[in-house]
Amino acid sequence: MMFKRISGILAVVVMCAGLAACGSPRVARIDPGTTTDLSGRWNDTDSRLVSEEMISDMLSRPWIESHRASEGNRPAVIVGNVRNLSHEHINTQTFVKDMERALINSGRADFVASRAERDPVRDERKDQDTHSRADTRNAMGQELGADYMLSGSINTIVDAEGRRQVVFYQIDLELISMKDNRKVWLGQKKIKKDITGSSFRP
Amino acid sequence: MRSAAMLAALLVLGGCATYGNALRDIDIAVQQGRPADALAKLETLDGGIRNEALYYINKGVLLRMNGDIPGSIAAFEAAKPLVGFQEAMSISETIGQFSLAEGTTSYQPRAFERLQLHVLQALNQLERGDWDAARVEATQMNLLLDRVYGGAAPQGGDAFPRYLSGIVFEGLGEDDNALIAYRKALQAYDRNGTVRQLPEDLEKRLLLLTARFGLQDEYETFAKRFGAKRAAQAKALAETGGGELIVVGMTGLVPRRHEVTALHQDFTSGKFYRISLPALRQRSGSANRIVLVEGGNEIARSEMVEDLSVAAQRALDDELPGLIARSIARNVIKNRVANEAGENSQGLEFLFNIASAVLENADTRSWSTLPDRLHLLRVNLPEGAHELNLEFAGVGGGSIGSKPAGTINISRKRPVIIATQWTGY
Repeated sequence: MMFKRISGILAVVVMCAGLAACGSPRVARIDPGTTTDLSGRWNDTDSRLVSEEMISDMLSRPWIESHRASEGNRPAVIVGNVRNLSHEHINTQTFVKDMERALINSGRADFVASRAERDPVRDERKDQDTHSRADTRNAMGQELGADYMLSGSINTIVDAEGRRQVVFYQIDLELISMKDNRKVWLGQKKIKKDITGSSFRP
Repeated sequence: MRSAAMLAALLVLGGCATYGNALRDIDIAVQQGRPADALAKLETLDGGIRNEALYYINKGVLLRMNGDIPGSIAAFEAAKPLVGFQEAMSISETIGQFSLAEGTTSYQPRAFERLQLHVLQALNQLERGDWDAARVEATQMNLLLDRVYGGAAPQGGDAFPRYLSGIVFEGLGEDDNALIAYRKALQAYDRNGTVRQLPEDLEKRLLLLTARFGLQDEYETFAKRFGAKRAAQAKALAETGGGELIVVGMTGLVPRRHEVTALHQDFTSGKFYRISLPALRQRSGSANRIVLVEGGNEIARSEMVEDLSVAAQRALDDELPGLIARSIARNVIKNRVANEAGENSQGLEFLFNIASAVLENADTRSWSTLPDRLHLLRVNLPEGAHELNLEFAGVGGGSIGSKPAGTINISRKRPVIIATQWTGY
């Protein structure tokens, strides 16, 4: 009798698990500023925290005013290499672009195209030399040179035991003078997460 | 009623157990050098949510073989969270495994397969020239080994991943991390390596880096173990100019799992009992060595750095006791259910017994598009363009095939990596 009951329950449990995978996907649109942590991995919230911290710090430090005082113009910045030295594939472009946008829109600094971005522009300019009307051409040799290069790195330290891990991220960014290699600004953001994976799944 | 429900569950879930068999056509296409056909066939299979990880890891390999590196990267990245999710235990799947069929569980890659996922992804990134992304794979490999396997893969297959990590760190100028990775590779080879001979290149790297860091005691330990000839070669390596070419060759296909069945009839009760277990079938196409040729002249020879057929056999050997125990448990449970069905109807009892026997299949799922053997070749070449060819040598040393490597531009800045898979075609 007991065995009958158990085997019946077993069959139902297994069938339910099999059917659990069925059904159409559910989509709910949410505010981009909402914090949602699903896997514990680097996500849009982490990127937003980094960009907010770095932007606020960068705009409040004296390097912009020092440059204006010595050079008489707005500093021009180029994005260099932000190295990912962590254990996750992290797209650094999300917070770097936020910083570019904030700085340009503040009117206090200029950004010039990076190496990857300017090659197509140069190709187009060269093409204009051949194919465009003389009065509409953009001449070569008129590019704005960068005064500072933005570079940095993301590092992680992971402490793991079983299904639990504590992940520490450190994001370091710096501005290096193209003139004399001085570092004129250092920004840093630390994020720490305690992630416990589930021991069971459906 | 309950018997009917169990019979229905068996029929529904029994299909899952044959996904391994459905991959056979894909394996044949790959073995015959038709990766495009294999990929097209893979897309037509519906393995369900339980085989999603297996789908993506096979897709990653097939896309690589078809030259679609970005697609391969995306497929492997899609596989990673699915594989990680399966570290957690599923109660329903475990119950199904003990009561219904072995293949009711989600496919969980073995340790050596999980490591190969990172190896292949690292090679994808290196071929794109993204050494930082390859570094991420190296750190993920190390984290996986430490977190899940206590620092060492249980059946081997972790020596080359460690070795490759060292190559990545060395290429990035992180000699300290490279030395740590090379040391761990040596430990892995010594502990349960899948190849008989320690790669000479690894010996040279250990000597080179310990000398560079002034670790005299360690250097002397290695020099004593590896010999004076190797120490001299390591010294020469430190003075070599030009740029480095690294070739990672993947030859053959890892042995495929197939089903071996024993069917018995109990002459007293008339009932059938079936035990099906997986066994490995070796496949052809593996090379013994890869030779790098330029202008008809041999420049360098590879060393075998990993034999995944050894890891696959060890994995199966470890699984067999559990597979046998569960198969016996399922036969017992199904027999009991059949007996209870027989209380209502003899016909139902017979039907249930036959269905149980027929659907008692071995779980033959495995990552069958993985290569059988991994080979490594490192050579310094003058800077500039080189027109290179790869020749694959068999057991006797004779050529069994060749493949053009194309025009390779060697630079002093960073090593150039070629990763090539050859299945005999």
